[in-house]
Amino acid sequence: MNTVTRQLITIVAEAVVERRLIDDLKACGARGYSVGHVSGEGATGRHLLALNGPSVRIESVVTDEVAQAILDRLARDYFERFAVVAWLSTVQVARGDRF
Amino acid sequence: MDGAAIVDNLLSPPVLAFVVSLLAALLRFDLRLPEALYPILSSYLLLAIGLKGGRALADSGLADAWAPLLAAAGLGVVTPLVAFVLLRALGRIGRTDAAGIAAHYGSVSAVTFTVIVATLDSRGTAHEGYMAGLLAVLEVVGIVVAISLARDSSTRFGRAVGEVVRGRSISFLLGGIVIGWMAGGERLAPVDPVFTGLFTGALVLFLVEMGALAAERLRDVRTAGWRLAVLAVAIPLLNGTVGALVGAAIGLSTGGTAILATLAASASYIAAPAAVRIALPKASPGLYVTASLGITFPFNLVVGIPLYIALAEALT
Repeated sequence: MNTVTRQLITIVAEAVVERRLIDDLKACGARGYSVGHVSGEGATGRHLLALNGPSVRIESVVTDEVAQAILDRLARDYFERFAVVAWLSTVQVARGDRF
Repeated sequence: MDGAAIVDNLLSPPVLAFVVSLLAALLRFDLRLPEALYPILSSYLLLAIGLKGGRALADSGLADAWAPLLAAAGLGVVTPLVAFVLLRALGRIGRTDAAGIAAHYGSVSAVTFTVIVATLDSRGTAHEGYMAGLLAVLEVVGIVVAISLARDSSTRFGRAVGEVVRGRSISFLLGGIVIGWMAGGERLAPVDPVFTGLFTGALVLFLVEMGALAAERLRDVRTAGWRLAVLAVAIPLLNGTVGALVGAAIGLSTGGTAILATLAASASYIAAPAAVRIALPKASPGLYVTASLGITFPFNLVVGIPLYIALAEALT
């Protein structure tokens, strides 16, 4: 089966911003996403505020343009204010028309 | 109040569960429940409190509840202001951090509320059933007032308020109130085994987890500073006294006055941390969670509750 090249964007964030991250992801053009609950440590220490719920890992496979738009949005609205990290991986996906 | 009241309170299973778990955590014993249980238990407790309050509203009607609801809204404005002024003047804490902490003192702790209700029930002290409605009012008003104190231009105020009101904590409480109010006493009987019978047991489980969380925060007290530690005891005492005076003034029963005092004294750690995180991301969680969960919550649970009951008895 043929595959196409896409970007996998992974965002790890504190629980309180889950809802608005997903809204922003969709607004930037992502057509699907998965959310998992995670625990761990980051550069600023143990995941803070477990009270608000466990940290989330949001993953979405998107085109280069959408990936860039999401990163720009994160830089503008999140990185300074919330515990959020993000990275891109280049992936080969089946059924490329879905992403 | 005498020492016996404090000892009596301390020996109730929920308070004991908290103290034992807190000590266990400080001594690094592994007395932790699986993490997934925390949101399940808090949702259950909030729903059960709501059901109980809704049922009481169905029994008593709204006519009796409007004055206390208004008083609660007033307290919701006063308590964060008291906290904010003290934190700024005596605590020497910056505006944003002071507003973030004040939001916690303006809002209320559903668990502290639950413990005082359980304590009053076990002593056979009657109280107004609609107090859970006041809990919902106080939880929101205090947060909104405090966040507006920050005058943080980067805050999208409307969005933050919307997220607080629709958050899990308020949703479960209001959902429970609506269900309890619409169903009424008799139709609720079949669910009583789950929401009334198991309630204190679930509260014990929840407080085991709270003890461990409080212990984590207690370790941060040194970094937060002694001024904040002192204020985290002084603010609940002051707000609790205001709450007791208001309760007595509007003619609540002794039990109701003790509950209102406890609500005014308590600091939130479910709704407020999430709300402040969203609305004032620059306020330091190391300060507000440490104060509310590390100091005020244990203080209220062990010393505050018997004190507020004694105060209510003296005033009514």
